[in-house]
Amino acid sequence: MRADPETRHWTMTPERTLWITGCLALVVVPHGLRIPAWVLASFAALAGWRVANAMRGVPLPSKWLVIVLSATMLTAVYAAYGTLFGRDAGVALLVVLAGMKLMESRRLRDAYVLSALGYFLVITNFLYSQSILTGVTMLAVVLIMTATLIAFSTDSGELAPRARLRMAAGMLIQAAPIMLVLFFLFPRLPGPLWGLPRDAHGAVSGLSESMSPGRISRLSLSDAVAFRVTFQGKAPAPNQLYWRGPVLWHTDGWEWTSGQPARSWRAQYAELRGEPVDYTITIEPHQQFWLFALEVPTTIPLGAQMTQDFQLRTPKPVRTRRRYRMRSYPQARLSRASMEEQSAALALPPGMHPKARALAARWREQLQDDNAVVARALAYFGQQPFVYTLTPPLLKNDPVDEFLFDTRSGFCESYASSFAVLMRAAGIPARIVTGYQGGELNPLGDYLIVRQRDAHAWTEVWLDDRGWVRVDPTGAVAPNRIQLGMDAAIPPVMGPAGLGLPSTGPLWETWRRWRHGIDALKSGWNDWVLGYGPRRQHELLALLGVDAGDLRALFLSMLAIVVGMLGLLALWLARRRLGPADPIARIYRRFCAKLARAGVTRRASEGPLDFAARVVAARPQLREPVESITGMYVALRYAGGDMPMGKLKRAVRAFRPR
Amino acid sequence: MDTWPSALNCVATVTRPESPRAPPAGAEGASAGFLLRFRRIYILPTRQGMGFAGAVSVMLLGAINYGNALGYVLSFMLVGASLVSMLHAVRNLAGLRLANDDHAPVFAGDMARFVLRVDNRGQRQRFGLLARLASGQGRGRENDPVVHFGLAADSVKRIELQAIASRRGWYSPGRVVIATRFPFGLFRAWSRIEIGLRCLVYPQPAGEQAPPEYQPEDPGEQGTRGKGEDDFSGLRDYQQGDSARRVHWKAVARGQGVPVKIFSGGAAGVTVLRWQDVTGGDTETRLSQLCRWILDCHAQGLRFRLCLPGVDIPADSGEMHRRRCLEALALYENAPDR
Repeated sequence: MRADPETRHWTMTPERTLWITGCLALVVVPHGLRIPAWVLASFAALAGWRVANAMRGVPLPSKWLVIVLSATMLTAVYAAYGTLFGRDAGVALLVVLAGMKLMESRRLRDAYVLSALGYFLVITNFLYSQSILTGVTMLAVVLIMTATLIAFSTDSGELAPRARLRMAAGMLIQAAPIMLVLFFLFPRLPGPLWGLPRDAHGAVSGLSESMSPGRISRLSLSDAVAFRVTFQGKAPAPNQLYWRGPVLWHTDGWEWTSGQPARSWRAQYAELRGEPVDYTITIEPHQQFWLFALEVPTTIPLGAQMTQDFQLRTPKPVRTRRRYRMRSYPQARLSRASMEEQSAALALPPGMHPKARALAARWREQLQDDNAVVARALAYFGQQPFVYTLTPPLLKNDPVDEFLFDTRSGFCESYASSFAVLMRAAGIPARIVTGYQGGELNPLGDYLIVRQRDAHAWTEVWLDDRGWVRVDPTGAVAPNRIQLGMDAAIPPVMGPAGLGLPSTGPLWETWRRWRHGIDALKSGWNDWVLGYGPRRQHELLALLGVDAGDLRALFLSMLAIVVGMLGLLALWLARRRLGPADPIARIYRRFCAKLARAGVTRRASEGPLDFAARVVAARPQLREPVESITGMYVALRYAGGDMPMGKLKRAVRAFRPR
Repeated sequence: MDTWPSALNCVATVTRPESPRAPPAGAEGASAGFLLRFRRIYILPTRQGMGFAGAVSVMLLGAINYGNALGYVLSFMLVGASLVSMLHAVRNLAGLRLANDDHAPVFAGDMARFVLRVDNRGQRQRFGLLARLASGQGRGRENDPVVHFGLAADSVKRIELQAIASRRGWYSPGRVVIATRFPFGLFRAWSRIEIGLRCLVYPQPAGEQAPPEYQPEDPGEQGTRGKGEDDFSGLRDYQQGDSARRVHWKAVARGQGVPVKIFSGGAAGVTVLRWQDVTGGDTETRLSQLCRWILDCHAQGLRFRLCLPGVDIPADSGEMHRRRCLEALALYENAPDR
């Protein structure tokens, strides 16, 4: 390639080296825990080498050593991951490449390759986290990288580092409107363009489609948000906030799983009663095949399906944040169950839970009415010394019998599963519903936050006269859990309480308010930044009267808007002075303006001395101040004198030409 | 690879701001200069800009594939910043005034120096500018000297551009390219301006023929001195075109600069340098020989007369005379104006 004579002089000066190395370090550091330690260490070593070269003149490795080192490290990355593609291996690869490229960067071209690697590493950070914190941090990094581009294309000494940063910030601010237009109007496509690597998504979070002792209590340690809800009208009472998720029918004595009826797509049947509740849910991606809704949901979000037992299921895992509108009837009755369902809801594993079966059989003998049996069972939980705890003792042989008769301490899953077993043993069809209960109202955003720690399990029993009825045995033991929410039953581990401070009082309130503020911010971020996908774009464009399907029109209008914005920006720039305005010149301009008002205007081509001579000729009485000011100005401006500017400023301020 | 001798003329000369005493003397009409307007400025992505566009496209594809919102944000931010940088690149050039100062004549084969005056009025600093001569059709020849400079707010710089003057006559190096890659190096904004750079090129002094004898200029006014007398009258510093024979080599060896001996002789006589006195050779060779003679005569302080076909410059001496004669040589027979 022919060297461009205009860039041939370009060299990687120590300053440029420090800037670009610093940028790369800033984007590699957040990856520190995600890449193997040796990748991080080798990057640090190579970056250090380059800096030592720039500062102390330590020689860089020979070309051959670089080639050998690169080959070795690429092989090592391949050995560590079994591939060079995908998210994790890709990041390690980029870090290794950045380190090696630093070793051989001398020319302009190399510098821009390093910049591109830096920007790539910024974007890889977003594959792991898209939180506000990550966004803000990376914005700062992008600012520094942009200032580095300025360092690449100005001669050294033309701009101080701070001036470069300020200029880069100005450019990014000017770029922001264009970014926003592109962000909102650029056609969003659903789904990946090509297959995503297996590690593209995070771990499954939240509820799973099975329940065994300890599964939900583990979730309760997590403060992560499951979803957020905005009610269109008044929010229902806290004890009505049952967010329905997977319904479990089958048990093997230890674990509850969904079983056959839960996958049934036959028509759902509900008698609508009471007032409907309208609300919008913004669900966090949880990599599972269902959505949550307030009981009893009567609408089906786009692309989802509803099973016979009123679960909302999606054909694909929920991999992106999603917003959907729902309408539910909390009072509705699920008044139908097929024979098949009823028998599935009675099945018990043979040979398990003998003591529980015996207890249930005793109740059955005493009581004819199913309602009475249910009441008796709830009374049992209320009267016996049951304890609601996150850390129950280990259950060894029969989780239901041991829980009911020995340990008597457990979490919602223990209560729900033993209650369901008791009901089934008494001949009452019962099933377990998992989901979330409650939520925290955020007064700042006027919405409800449902966290993983609100995960819950309850039961539904079939009563011939009332249909499927929700029974929450946890409420019999820990009514606060249902009435006031999880925080009241078991204080969160975060915040002041985690430090052993009481979960009441002003400190606690401050903590709560702070948390609400943060969450309101997060919620807006989720709605408008992270959750902005094809669906929301469709809505937004419909609002603007644009058909999102018409890609051509969309592209053209996007282009037109961007061009228009650039035009406006050009006009604005033309009227504005960029860069550090020269304070001395500004003072002198004020002086000229005063003279202009007095009737002597400086010509564009006139130097200060000539102008002063003309002024003195025209207004001899101004001789002294004009000559003194001009003299000071010329001395400051052209002689590079170290005279303080204040004197000139005062003289001009006091100057009153007549 | 990058061992281009940077000492070679890539130097912005006087970089102090213009004296506050308004336009420099001698630049009468040129004082206003050529104002670079927006419409005269072109802009195209640089090689680095193309690479950057490729990188941003890949990032955008990644963002689409992963459905990564912040990926979109970053990609569009970079697109926006690149577009904005175009405006700043053009703005970095717009409003500059360019003018050429007088250019001293040179001898063929020497470097012609063109001084470009770049005037930055207004309150904006200009960054990362470069100027060079727009020779050839393309972006310039490999070895074209390029001058890199910046301009403080409300300041003037003199940029010296150089080119080898290969042939005698008027030499116009063509247009001047002024360009910038500011702010990000992704775009190059440039303009090619015709500001009438022109410099007179004298023939190269050459030839070893002995100069013609002195002649009594005018029998009536013959001086009292004998002819052919060469009196050593002093030393002065070497000037371009001085004959090597007159260099005071002993002084050179003593490290006293390069003095040249001056002779005063034949004040009353005159040397007639005639076209037909040069024996053989083509026009250019003859002119070179005449040029050498003129320089020698001038160095000796002789009075001389130049006779070319169609040109006759009466005998005289002194700087003005030397210049007149050399100009006559340079422009003899309509030397091709380039």
